[in-house]
Amino acid sequence: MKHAFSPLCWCLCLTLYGCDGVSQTVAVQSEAAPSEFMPWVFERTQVDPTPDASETLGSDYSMEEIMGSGMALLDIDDDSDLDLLVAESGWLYEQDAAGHFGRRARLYELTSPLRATGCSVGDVDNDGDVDLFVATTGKDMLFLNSGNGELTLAPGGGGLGAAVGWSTSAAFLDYDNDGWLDLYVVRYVESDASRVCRGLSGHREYCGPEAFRGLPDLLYRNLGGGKFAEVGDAAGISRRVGKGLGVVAVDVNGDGWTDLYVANDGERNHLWINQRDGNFEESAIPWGAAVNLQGREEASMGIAVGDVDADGSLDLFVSHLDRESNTLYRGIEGRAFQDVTFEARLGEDGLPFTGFGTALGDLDLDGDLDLLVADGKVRLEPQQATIAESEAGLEGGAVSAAAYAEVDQLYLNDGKGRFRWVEESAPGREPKISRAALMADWDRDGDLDLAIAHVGAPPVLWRNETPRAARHWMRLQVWDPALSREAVGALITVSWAGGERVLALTRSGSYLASGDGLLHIGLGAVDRIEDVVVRWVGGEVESFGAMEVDRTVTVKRGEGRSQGDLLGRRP
Amino acid sequence: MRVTNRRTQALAAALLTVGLLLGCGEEAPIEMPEVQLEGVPTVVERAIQQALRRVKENPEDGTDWGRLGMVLDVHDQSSAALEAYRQAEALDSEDYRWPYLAGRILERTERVEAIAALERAAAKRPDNAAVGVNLGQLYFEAGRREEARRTWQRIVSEHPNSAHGWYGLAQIRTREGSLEEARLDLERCLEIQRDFREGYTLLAQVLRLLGDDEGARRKAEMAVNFPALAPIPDPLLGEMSRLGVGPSWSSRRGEAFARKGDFVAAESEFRKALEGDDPTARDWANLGGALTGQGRHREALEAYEEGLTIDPEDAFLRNNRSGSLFRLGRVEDAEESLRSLMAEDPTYIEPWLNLGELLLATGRPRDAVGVLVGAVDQEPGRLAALKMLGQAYVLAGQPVLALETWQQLLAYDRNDLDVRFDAALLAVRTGDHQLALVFLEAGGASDRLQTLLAWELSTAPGRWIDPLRALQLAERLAERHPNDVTTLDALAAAQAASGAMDLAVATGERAQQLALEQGRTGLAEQLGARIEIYRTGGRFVQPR
Repeated sequence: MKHAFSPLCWCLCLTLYGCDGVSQTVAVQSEAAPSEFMPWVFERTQVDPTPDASETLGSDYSMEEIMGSGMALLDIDDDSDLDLLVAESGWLYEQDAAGHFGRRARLYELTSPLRATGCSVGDVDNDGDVDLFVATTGKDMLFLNSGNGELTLAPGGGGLGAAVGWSTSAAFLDYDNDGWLDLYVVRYVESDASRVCRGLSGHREYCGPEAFRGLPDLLYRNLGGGKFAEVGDAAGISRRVGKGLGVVAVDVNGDGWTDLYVANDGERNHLWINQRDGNFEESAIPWGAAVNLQGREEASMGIAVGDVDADGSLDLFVSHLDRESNTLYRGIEGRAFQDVTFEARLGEDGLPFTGFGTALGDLDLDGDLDLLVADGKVRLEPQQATIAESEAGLEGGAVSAAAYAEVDQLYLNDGKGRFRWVEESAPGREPKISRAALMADWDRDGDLDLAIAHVGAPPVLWRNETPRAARHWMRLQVWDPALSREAVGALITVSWAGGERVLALTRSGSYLASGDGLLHIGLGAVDRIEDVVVRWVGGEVESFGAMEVDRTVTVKRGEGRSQGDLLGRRP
Repeated sequence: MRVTNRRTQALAAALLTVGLLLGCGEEAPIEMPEVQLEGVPTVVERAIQQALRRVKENPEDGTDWGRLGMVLDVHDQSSAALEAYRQAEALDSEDYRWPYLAGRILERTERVEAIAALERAAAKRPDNAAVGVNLGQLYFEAGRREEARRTWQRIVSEHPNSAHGWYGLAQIRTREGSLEEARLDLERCLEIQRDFREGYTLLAQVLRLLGDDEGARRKAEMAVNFPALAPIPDPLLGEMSRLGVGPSWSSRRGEAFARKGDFVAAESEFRKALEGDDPTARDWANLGGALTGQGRHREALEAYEEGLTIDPEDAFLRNNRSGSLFRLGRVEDAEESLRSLMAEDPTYIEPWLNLGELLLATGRPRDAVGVLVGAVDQEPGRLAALKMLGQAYVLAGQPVLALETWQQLLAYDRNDLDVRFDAALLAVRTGDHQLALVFLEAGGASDRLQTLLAWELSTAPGRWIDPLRALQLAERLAERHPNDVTTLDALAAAQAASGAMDLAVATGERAQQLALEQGRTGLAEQLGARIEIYRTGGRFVQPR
């Protein structure tokens, strides 16, 4: 999508916000890009160990086990730093001033065979603090934030309790533009623990999605005050069944109404285009984002969204099973997508790995979006299965988690949307069964750090200590004062002399995960932003003028210069 | 294949280590691939052992190495298979199969090596379309667009009916923004192979980029009719699949037989699949399907019920069981079961179609219309639903709605000649000659449709007839089908419309004689009546 707004107004309402935020994705091409690669430096950050982490798998080969855990980065206590929730265990980790993540409380503890899977963060009651949705294999849960960092289950389940089944990811969005955050819940399959699955050689294996029937996703309309009603049928969502894992809520056609892209496992991905009347139309095939270049459905897991080639259109990256490449769908002017995976040099290096969590962000502040793919197997070659069993000396089919472990992959963008796998990066040297993965500036130093959740091991947080040189950055908070919350669903165009970049404000994406609400922009040598233009949900457009870099800036709805309402016409 | 992580001696025991050094004297030793037999079914182990033995007996025979590779390949032991293929190629450098099959494994992990392997295969067999199609795709995905273009152009030049070749060219043209050319290539591809699913998905994208959102939506909805990608025709892969043993392969082969309509062979394979350690509900469903295909509905019902003891909720099984109940005359049970499935999961379309069929077969076309409208609402592009809905409208006495429904179907799939014929015939019978001609004129070179067109142009009311064209058409058809009663009937009508009454009588009599010889007495009587009209110097005009 192209967002070439005229910078008619300069610098109306900036709020310098200090270095107290953290951020998610998206970068701006620098004047000097592509610049020389400075080797990434990541340092592991201590997270208190989870008491009940298991390092063996396969005692019952339950599919729920291997699909693993989600994660959220959220400022639970409104102290301007990010805390961490690990969905599977329910443990909440609070970040202290030294950047240490200490176990604070266990929000919930589900009884086997129930498992919590993914989570999503958003302010459902517009009271200025973040609330939390947790997807499970049974009844999903909504926690409301009391404002002092205490999360409590919403009375009556907030209206979310009626549906039972395996929910995976979720996304908050205001699909009907009524000011309340609605909720899209992705659902997976009707699994059956008694089902025995085997590979072609006959060895025991975790079942894949093909063994089970898929479930329709759910759409909950927020009725106000944190009470929801399921409207998936009326909105058309229930008419298409996928086997969904990842989801991102983003306005792909730039009409001011939030759309949804769902990664389905072994089925066509879904692209739900918002019809602006409470309905969605599934349009992934004509948009070119349903299947890969060969027309083949893939085992889609996680999703990252961002403008990787700096052409003003949002692109979609989807992670996949081994023997399938991950897929980069290049956005074409807000009208369609094209699979450009191998041209972007993202094909071959991903083929041996099973990708799950994924994120785009400018890890070296050189002005382009780099890529993280968190990997971990769900199936073994026959040899691997036996090796694992033999080495672990395990019986009854249980295998060591190590057999399923893979390295995570960091890819460097060359500034033109072509990538190179940087094998020597620290997160790439520790094989684990990775699942949810996020980028966010959780240590508040201006660059993006990493957070990765695992099966059979605690999450790992990687602090980015890559030398900064003279590269610049900006964090952007996009706030709607009338709603007392961040403007989820807004599209932002940041422009500078000689370039611009489009960003999307969403906490959704990756795999079973929910990220930060601040936008992060790497700027390279650019030391001044000429304009920030925000297209709010509903289509209204405001320009906020020039801004300084290397800081957090807040733009507030109503305080910029109006550019009119672009609904219905292309910018 | 080397196992990189050997930390225990237990591993060595677990693996069948066939790392025998078979060479002797000064010759370089030949190392056998390490294969995994622990935990695999006995039949699989036996097949692999047998292939290994042949290689051990003939270590210099490339074909035996290649066969070992194929046996390993079909049993998912890719790394070991790759080693065997490499050895086969080294020993038998003239055979394209070994680099080709190695390339197919490598394309999952090592694209550069895969391209090199397929290039070697293509150099040995430049005429092999399967090699070329795969190589073209790898070139294209690697961004080597000109090489892909040359490869696919050569394929369509040498194999003009290669749907995959046209699809490949369309991919390049789409990427380059030559959308009209891409559209034409895809239409060609889909004319050659109607079930080429990826052709519809790419055509939907192309139409959207051309601004035809409605056309794009239709093509996207069409894709639901074809659950699987169109396989590249490749006898070698068929040969390979026959090497697969064990329950998984029995199931696969059974499905392939069932797709071809060979239900006896399918039954045999599905029964083998059920002999495995963990038969699934789906295995029983497969057997039930094969038995249904042979009309053995009672046994099919038993198979479905066996499956339901494993998974009582399996909707696929319950749907098929309903079909068996219906065919065994238990209509109420079948209907109740189908309605229950529809209520539980309205997005599962098959019970809707089955119930529609049941209602039609039991003389309730109006009820069938209601159900089938619901099915079309769920999946607007489901051709089977549209086709049956048209039939239901006809039986319910609503021909106009039937024609609208079939027009809707033809908007999705203009190449469905059966529906085109039915629609034209219905239009003729309802007196809508303009619409009939629309259906017929777009029917292409189908003889059946051309015959009806000749008939229509000869026998329609005055303003619609075109005797000269009808005669040209009918004469051409009669040359091809000199003993076809319908064709001769159309020719006689055209001759009469052209004023050649003697010829019309003679042709009509020939048709009548053939009809009598074939025992079609009713038709013979109709022909006799028409001959009488010709004798009086008139042409036959369709009654209103």
